[in-house]
Amino acid sequence: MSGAETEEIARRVLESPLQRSGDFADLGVPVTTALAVLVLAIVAVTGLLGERRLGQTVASALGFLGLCVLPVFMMLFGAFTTVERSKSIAFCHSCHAAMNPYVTDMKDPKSTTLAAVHYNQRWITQDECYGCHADYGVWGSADAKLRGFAHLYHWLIGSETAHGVKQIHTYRPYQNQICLGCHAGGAGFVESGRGVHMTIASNLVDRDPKTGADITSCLACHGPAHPKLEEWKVKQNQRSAPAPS
Amino acid sequence: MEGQAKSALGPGAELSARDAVWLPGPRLRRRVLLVARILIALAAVMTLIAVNWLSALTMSIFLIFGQAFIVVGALLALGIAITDVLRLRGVSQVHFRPGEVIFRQGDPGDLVYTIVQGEVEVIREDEDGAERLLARMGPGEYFGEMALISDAPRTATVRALTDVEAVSMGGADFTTLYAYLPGLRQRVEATMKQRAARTAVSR
Repeated sequence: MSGAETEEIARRVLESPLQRSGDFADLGVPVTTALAVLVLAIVAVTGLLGERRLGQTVASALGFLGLCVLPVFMMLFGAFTTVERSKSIAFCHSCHAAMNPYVTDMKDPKSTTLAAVHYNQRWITQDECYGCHADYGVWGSADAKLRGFAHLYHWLIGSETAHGVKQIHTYRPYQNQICLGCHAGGAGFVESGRGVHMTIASNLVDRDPKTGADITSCLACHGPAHPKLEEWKVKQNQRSAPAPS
Repeated sequence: MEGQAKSALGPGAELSARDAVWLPGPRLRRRVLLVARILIALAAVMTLIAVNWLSALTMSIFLIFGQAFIVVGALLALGIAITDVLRLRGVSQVHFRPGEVIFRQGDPGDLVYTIVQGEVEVIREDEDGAERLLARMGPGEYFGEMALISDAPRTATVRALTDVEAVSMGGADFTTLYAYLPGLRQRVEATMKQRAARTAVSR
């Protein structure tokens, strides 16, 4: 391998660090594919040959396996695999035209928004959208995906918010607990700003019973998380405008 | 008389169709299995597409329709599997529509049937595919015992001529009764001889 090739590989590794591999979610694709192919094969064989050619016992056993047992495993593996893979930025960005300003800004190394800082410093190493937008807890993922169906519906009917024409809003005030899930307990968090976090600790944890919003949102001091749509459009127009001669 | 028939199995062997468990006939069974196969096959295709070409659309279709198809298809197939087990054990009630084939020549023997209401025809299919009518049977008569006793495939096809209400008995139960009840055995053997003679005459 020449020196130039080695240099090129090293640059590629530094620019695009290795993603996780070998975990259960990666195994889901081949396993689910194999199950689906097996189910199709059994359905075809039992349907085409029938009980007379296969024999009643073999046909019944294959039918039970191919129509009752394997489909259930296919359903479980398929759901797990698709939900896990749908947490990636690429997936969120693939159909959410409304997300384009936020993803573009997040990847901008000059941007100072919270999302951009977290992304560019790699404080969250994977599934960055999902890391901040699926509430922690048992129902967090399910709730996020159910809302995803509503997003798809709005995108299909041509809603202006879904297509990035109008400003989108979160369904409810952003919850401090998502930030605290990573930051709470860290020495930097506890001691920063001469311990201001600990001084207003109850404000960070308690919520307004009427609105459900935290008394003091993390974003009040550290925001914004993303640029406003209009601000981003202005910024994009300024960048695309020809430089004065 | 509705729901009851004097059985050709002998005195005291009257069967009450109302007391037997109702189970789907072969046509309904085939249709349900076909629906289950189609649903499961569609779900498998949706799964393949969603997992290998993931997008919001493919994922949504899989999670909404694919999963529903799997649940419905698997439950239908499970229902058929349970009725198959029930059918082979004990006595159950079954309905056949006119023209419906109850079993075909060459099928493995699994059940013996007693006609409660309606009429069936017994047909022998020759090697050249021509059909020959062997007999017609009505209420009180039974058929399907020969394949069970001789442990051989069905020797003829039986088809419903009218709406037929029948009571079926699992092969294992029938052969047990056949082995331990001499009276039943004698009557069945006599009937089999009569039928064999009738078949020979019709050749």
